[in-house]
Amino acid sequence: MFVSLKNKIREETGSDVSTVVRKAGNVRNVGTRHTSQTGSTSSISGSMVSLDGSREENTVSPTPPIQLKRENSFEYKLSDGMQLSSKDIKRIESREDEWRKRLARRESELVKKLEKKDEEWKVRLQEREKEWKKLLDKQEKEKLKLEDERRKAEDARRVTELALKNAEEYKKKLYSFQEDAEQLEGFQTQEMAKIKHLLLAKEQEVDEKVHHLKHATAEVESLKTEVSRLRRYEDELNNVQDEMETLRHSTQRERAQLSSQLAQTEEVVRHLKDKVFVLEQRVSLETNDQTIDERVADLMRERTLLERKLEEAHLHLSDIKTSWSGKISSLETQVGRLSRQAGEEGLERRRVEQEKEELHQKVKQLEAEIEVNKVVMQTKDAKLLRMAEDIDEMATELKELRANVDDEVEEFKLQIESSSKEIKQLKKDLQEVTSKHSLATTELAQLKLSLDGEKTSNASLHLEVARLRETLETERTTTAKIRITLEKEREEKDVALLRNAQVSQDVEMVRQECRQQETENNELQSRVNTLEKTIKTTNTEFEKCQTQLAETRLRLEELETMEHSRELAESNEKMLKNSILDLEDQLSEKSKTIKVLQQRLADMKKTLQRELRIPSSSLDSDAEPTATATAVINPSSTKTVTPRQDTSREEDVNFKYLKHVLIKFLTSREYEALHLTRAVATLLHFSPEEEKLLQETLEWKMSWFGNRPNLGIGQTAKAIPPS
Amino acid sequence: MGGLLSYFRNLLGSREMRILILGLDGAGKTTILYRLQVGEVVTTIPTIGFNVEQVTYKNLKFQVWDLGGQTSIRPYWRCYYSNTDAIIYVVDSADRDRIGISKDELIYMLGEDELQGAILVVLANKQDMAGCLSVAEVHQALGLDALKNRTFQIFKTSATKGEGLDMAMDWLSNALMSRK
Repeated sequence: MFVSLKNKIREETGSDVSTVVRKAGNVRNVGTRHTSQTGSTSSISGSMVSLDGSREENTVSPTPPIQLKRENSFEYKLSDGMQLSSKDIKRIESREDEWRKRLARRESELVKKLEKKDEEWKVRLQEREKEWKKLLDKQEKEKLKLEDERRKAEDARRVTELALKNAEEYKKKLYSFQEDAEQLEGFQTQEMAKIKHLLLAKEQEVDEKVHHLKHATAEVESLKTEVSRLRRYEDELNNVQDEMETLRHSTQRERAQLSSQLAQTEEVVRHLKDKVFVLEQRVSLETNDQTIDERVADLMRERTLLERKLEEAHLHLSDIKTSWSGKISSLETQVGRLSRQAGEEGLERRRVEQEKEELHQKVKQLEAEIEVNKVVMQTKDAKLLRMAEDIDEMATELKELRANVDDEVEEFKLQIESSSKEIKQLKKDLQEVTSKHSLATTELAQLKLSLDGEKTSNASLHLEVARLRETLETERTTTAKIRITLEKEREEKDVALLRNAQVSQDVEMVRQECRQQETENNELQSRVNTLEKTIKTTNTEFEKCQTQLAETRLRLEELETMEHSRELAESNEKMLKNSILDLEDQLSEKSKTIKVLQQRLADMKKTLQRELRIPSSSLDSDAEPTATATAVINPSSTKTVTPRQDTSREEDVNFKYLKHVLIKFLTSREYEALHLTRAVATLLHFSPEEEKLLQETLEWKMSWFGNRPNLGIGQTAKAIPPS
Repeated sequence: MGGLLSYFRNLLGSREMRILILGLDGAGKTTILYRLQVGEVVTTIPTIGFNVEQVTYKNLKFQVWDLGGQTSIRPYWRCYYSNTDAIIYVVDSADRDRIGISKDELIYMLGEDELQGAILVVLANKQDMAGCLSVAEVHQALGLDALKNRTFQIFKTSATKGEGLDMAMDWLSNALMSRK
């Protein structure tokens, strides 16, 4: 402002403001001459101001002329007081004319300037209006854009709503999935618990088995030791027995030898005695002289004696033989006993061997068990080894982690060291900064001194500034007026804006209402749709219900007819049941009578047979051929059936035959029994139908498929009905 | 079940041959049956009824039926005739008195329709007995000369000694195989 003013002043006067002021002062002093030197500074200042104002009038306001006039009047009064000359008056009038001309010129200039300003303002207003129109257009465009954006946002909102629904569905699914997952987790935990339980049970079993195994091994070892001990004893026992037997044998043999030697010696002695006796007799005879006859007689006697001896010897020999045979028999018995003993021993040995084998087998079994357990132990050892390996791995991992931690610690230490270095550097920096600070403070002091100097210069400048401010205030008044006009314009603009805003608000209100209505409309439409749908569904249901009703009516009618028929059937059934009961009663009565009749018939038959047997037996005693003539007629007899010769015997044979065949028939399989059907049928006088039935039944039993042959119903049934 | 098994056996083709051993009582039928089956002489009692045994001879299976031959149960023979492949007719060579009855029974039996296709083997048994009829005599006494349209053969046997039975069975099995 000041600068512009100064520039304008410079343009007008061609010199600076201060210089102008000084010049003005000099001019006045020169021009007036009468003015007292003691005039107040204020008056001087006022004249200076007026001069300035007159200078400035060219550029700005219409007020300066008044001030000028005032000054003129002021100067006129001053002149009045001093009694002016005509020349002076003329000079003053010429001056006045000049002033007037100047004034007129100024006025015309001012009018021109005002017109120019008006035109400028008009131009500005037009420009402003154009700008407003542009702004309005822009706002309308923006409005359209916003509407588009709103539509887009609505679309987006719908999409997002759909997305939200989907998300909710997904959420529900997610909840269900989570629940499933939780259930599964529960199952997993349960199963895990079960498995753990099983594992624990198995481990217990394994422990028990290990205990058993230990027991078994201990037993095996004890048994082995026992076996070894017993083996030693067995050997010893065998040796002892053998020795005993050998000793017994040797003693027996020796005894027998001794006895035989004794017998031999005894016999020899006896023989010798006999010889001695004979020889003594002979000697006694020879000593006497005898005749030949006597000698012969003697010899004869001797011979007889010898013969007797021979006989005795024979007897003795026979005795010996008998004794020998006795001995042999005793020996045989002994041998038998020994063989029995040997057999017993052999049995014992076999038993012992069997026990040994059993023990061996036991040992083998136990060894197998031990092997199995060893395998189990090996597996366990393998597990343990695996566990140990795992532990080792864990330990290695731990070591690695420790190493990592150590590395990190080292890194941290390095960082700490670096940071401490940095701190040191920073401290150094700080010291440097403090030194700089001290330098700066000294500089500041210097600067303060210069500032004081500056302040003093500043005060002088402030005075100038105050002066300038006064000029500025005048300027402000002018600007204030312009501002007033501008404010008016602004107010108008504001009013216009307000109206615009009101209109836009109304538009927005209307739009909101429209939106609400639209939403309402949509809602109503959706409701209408849903209601239509429900109406349709209800219509369809109604139709269905009607159809069902018709069906149910039809069914009801059918059921009614069924019930009628059922009632009729029940009445019929009752009637039939009554008749059946009556018939059954009759049947039972009749069967009873039939049984009675059959019994009677059987009795009659028996009596008849008894009566027939009596004459046949009497006839049999007479002659067989005649019996053929009087024989009872056999109903099943063929050509070769021989007549009954002995009825009782024959009946017996027939009955036996029947029994035999029947037993075979009943006990044999169907395939074999099939061959016997003829025989059974013939024996029991079956009718051809009955025989066929029997055959068919057997074939049915043999076959895989096929129907059971018709065996009749009720009393005439040939078979027990299947249960 | 048994029927099922036999059904399968029939399917496989090795059908059992059904053979009847017939003859007067005391001719030695049961002894021959068990001689064929076990290969030993067993003590027997008079058969009132029948005996059935399975006899395997040279990979051929026979179901041999030994029917009791007593006078009163002789009529029942005809009940067993159906499906019979061969008949072994046993004659007591030492029983000269009843050879006639034996002949009558044989003739009557051969007259049956169900036995028209059956092979006949006549065994002149008890050849070890003193004063027995020879094979030719038995042949003549039974009137076998008159037989026509019948594959038959006569053998002299002794069931207790086991003579002649192998020959008879050889012939029978060959005849059955060839007839097939």
